[in-house]
Amino acid sequence: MVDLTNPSPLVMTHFELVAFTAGLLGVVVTVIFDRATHYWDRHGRK
Amino acid sequence: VSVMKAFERYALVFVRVYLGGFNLISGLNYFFEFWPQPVPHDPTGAAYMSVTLHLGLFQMAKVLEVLGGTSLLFGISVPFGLVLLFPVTMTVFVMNVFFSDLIHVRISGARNFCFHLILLAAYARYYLPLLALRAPVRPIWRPGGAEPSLSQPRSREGMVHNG
Repeated sequence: MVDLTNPSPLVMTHFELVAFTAGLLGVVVTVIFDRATHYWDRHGRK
Repeated sequence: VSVMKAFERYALVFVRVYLGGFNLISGLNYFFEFWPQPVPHDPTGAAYMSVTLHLGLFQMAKVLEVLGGTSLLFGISVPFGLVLLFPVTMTVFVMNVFFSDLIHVRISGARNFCFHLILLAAYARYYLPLLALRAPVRPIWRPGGAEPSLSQPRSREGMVHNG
């Protein structure tokens, strides 16, 4: 059960840190995937 | 042009994964308590949270956060995920921006609302068919989904039966 007598709004920043890290990782993974696809299209199977 | 296209692509990935990650961790945190559940600092927010917990609506919102967050994070049925999450984003926006007395909470609610609007705009063409002015029923239980015409029977048997 949630303890309503214990305001802890700073946990919001924990969520933001997780979300920001996930966002950056998402971009990195997408860039790698795009580069790999591009490379495969040019140098992969003909 | 290609630089702008690349920026648009990666910016939208960032916004989508950020909003998905935020909602997923916020939803999971309620059920698993990685950190203490955040409780609004202001009296209105605290009262609202208390009432919604009592009604079970808070728990429902957390389920929506987990479902919608997973959808956005992994890019699965994103237009539907955005619809699922919109009531949560809207409520948090009103509570955080207009009632919270903490600046970082206000910024958080406003930013998530902006991110949601950006994503709704980015996926807008999936929603345009919903704006049909005259929309005949298309039941999921009817093959083809079309509404049968009552005035013009299509089959020969129908014509004989009606005539």
